[in-house]
Amino acid sequence: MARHRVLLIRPWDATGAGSGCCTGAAGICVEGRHEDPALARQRADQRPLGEVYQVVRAGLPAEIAVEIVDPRNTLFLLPAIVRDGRRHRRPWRALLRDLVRGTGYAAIIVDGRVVSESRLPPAEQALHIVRRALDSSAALSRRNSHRSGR
Amino acid sequence: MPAIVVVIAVMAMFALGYRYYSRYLADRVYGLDPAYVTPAHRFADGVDFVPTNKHVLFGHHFTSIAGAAPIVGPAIAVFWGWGPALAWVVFGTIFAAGVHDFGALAVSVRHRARNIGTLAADVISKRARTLFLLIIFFLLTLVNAVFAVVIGNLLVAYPGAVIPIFVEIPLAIAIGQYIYRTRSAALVPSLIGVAALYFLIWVGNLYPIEITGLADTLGFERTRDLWVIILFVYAFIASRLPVWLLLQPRDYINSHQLFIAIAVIFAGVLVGMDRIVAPMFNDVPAGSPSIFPFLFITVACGAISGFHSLVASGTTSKQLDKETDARYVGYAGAIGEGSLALGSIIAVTAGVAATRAEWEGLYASYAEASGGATRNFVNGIASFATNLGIEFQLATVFAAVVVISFAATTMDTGVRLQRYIVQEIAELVGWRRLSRHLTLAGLLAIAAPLTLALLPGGGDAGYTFGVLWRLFGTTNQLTAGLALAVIAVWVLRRRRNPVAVIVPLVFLLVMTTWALIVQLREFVAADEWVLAPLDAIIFVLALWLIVEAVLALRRASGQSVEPDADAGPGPDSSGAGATGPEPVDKSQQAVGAESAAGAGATDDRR
Repeated sequence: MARHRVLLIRPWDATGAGSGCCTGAAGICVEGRHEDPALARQRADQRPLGEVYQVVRAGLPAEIAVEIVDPRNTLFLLPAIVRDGRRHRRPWRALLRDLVRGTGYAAIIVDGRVVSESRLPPAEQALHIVRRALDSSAALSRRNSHRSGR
Repeated sequence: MPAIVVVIAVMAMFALGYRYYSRYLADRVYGLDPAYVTPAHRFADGVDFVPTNKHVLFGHHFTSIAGAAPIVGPAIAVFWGWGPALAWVVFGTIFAAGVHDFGALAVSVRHRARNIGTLAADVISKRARTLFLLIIFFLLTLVNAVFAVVIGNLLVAYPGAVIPIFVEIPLAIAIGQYIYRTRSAALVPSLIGVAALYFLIWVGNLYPIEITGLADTLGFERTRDLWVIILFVYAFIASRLPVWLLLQPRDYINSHQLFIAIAVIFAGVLVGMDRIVAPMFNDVPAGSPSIFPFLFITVACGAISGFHSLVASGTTSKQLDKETDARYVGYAGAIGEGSLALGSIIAVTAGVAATRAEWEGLYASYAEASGGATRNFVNGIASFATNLGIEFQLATVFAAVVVISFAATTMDTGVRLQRYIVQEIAELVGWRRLSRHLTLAGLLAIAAPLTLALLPGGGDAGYTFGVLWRLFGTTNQLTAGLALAVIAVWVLRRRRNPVAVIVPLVFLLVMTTWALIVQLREFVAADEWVLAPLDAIIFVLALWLIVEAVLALRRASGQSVEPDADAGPGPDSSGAGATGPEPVDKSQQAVGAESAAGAGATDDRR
C-alpha cells in the first residue's frame, strides 16, 4: 500500500527567515531575555499552525507522516509534492497545479494534493479535511492498483 | 587539470567521509540511539519543538547555514595555491566541520535542545556563558564589518549591480505584501520576483550607477566608504522591520538565486571543461602571511564555522525526529557548505583567468588576493555562465547580485542579532536602561562594525579588508572551538573516546592563538591602534576559552558517567528535575551512574 504524507505549510508571515549562517543564528534570541520583538511576533504567529499540527498528528495513525514545512524549503517541498503525487498516481496536469499551489498560504497537502489553502482552518476542521483527503487518496490508490492488476 | 576532475574527486571524498567517518562518529563517539526520545517529541508544541522528517529538516538547516562566507574565504585562500585551500576545505569539512556541526546537534538534542551558549554554561562553567556572549559580540561585529566592505567593494566594482540590488528591496517588500494580503501561493510571485530581478540586472547593466562624484563632493577618500555608510543606515532600519516584511521575501528570492548560481557553476564547468590555471602551490611573495596559521583562519565557513553550532543547537535540534537523523542533517549539511567552498575555489582558479600569468596578476599579493576575492569569484562565475551562452558583462552583474544579496541578508540579521547581544551584555553588567532601549542598543550595535569598516588603509580593498577577514575567521573559529569544547566534555563524560573531537579542537585553538599573536605584533608595529586592542581582546578570549576547556576536560575525565542535563520537566525549566535520563549503553551501565541518576524517571526510549 502506498505511504501517506500530510504536509502543513507554514503561513507566510510565520515562516523562518534564513539564508546565510548568521541568519540561522537567530535561534539564540529565543533563549535569552531580550527576544527581538519581530522574531517574537513571528513565533507567536506560528502557534495556530502548531495547534493544527498537534491535533492532526494525534488524530492520525503513526504510520502516516505529518510534517510542518516552510514554503521557502523548496529543496524539499517541490520534489515531495511530485513524489507523493506520482506515488498516488495523480495526473501530471493536476500535479503541476498542486506544485504551484503547494507553497500557498497555510496550505495543507495530502499525498501531493493541495486540499486547503489561503487560510488556516481550525484544528478539528483541518483534521476532518485531512481524513477525508486520505480516504479519497486510499480509494484512488486501490482503484488504480486494481486496474494495473488486471 | 580539468576542473571537473577536481569536482568529482572532492565529491567522492565527501561521499566517503559521510559513508564511513560520520558513521564512526554516530556509533562510537556520539553514541546515537534510534530509540532515544528527542526533545521534538518530548516537548512537542508545534512551534519550536516539531518532530520533522530528516529531508525537510536538511532543507531548513542547509538554507540557514549557506551564505556568502564560504565563497569569500576560499576565494582569498587560493593565494597559497589551490592545493592547500582545497585540502583544508576537504579535510576540514570531513574531520572538523562534520564533527562540529553533527556534534553540536547531538549534544543539544541530549540537553533539551538548548543552544550552545546555554550549554556552555551547563557543561563547561557558568563563566562560559559570558565568554560565549563576548565571542558572539565580536563575531557579529566583524561579520557586519566585513560584509559591509564586501558589498561596498562590489557596488564600486560593478555599478551595474546598484539598480537590481536597491530595487530588490521594494520588490521583495511588494512580493511579501502581495503574498501576505492575498494569501496566495509563494512560488509564482517569488519566481516572478527572480525574473524581475534578472530583468533589473539587464537594466542595471545598461545603466550602471557610480557614486564616485558624490563621494568626492562629500569628502570621502574612498567611494566604498559612502556605500558602507548607506548600508549601515539601511541595515539599522531593516533590523527594526518585521521579519515577514523584507527579510523573508528577500530570503525566498535569494534561495532561488542560490540554486541557480550553484547550477551555473557546475553546469558551466561541465559544459566548458575549464582547466585550473592557478598553481597547486603558489610561491607567495616575501612578507606575505604564512600558510600556517593563516590559511586555517582565512577559510572558516566552508571548512569549519562556529556559526553552524548556533544553527544546529538553536533551531535544528528542536525539530530532530530521531536522534540518528543528526548524522544526515548535521554532517551532510557541513558537506553542503564544503561544496559551496569547492564551487568558489573552482571559480577563482579555473573560471577567473585563462592563463597562469593572468591568474598570477590577480593574486600577486595577499592584499590583492583579499581585496579582489569577491571580484575574482564574480568574474569566475561569469566565465562559467558564458559557457552556457550568457553574455560576460551581464553575467558579472548576475554573479555580483547573488553575492551582494546574500551578504546584505546576513547584515540585516547580523545587526538585529548584535542589538540583542548588546542588550544581553548590558543586562549582565547591570546597565538596565541600555538593555531595554532598542534604538540605543541598535545604534551601539552598528557603531563598532561601522568604525571597523571605515578604517583607512590599503586603497579600495587590500590591507584592511584582508585583516578584518582574518579577524572574522579567527573569531568564527573561536566560536567553533567553544562548541567543540562543549562536545568534547560531553563525549568524555559519557565515557566515549573524544579524540575525534579533541583533535580539531586543539588544531583550531593552536591556529587561532598563533594567528592572533602574529597579527598583534604586526598591528603594534604598524601603529594600528584600533585593530591591535581588538586583536588583543580576542586573544584574551581565546586564552580564556583554552583555560575553560582544559579545566572542563580535566573535571570530566575525573568524573564518573553523568546523566545529561536533558531531564528537566520542560524546555524552559532550570533543569533541576530528573524526569528522564538519556538511555545508557552497555559500557555506561557498567559504570552505572547515569542510570542511577535516573531512578524513578520516565523512560526516554521509544
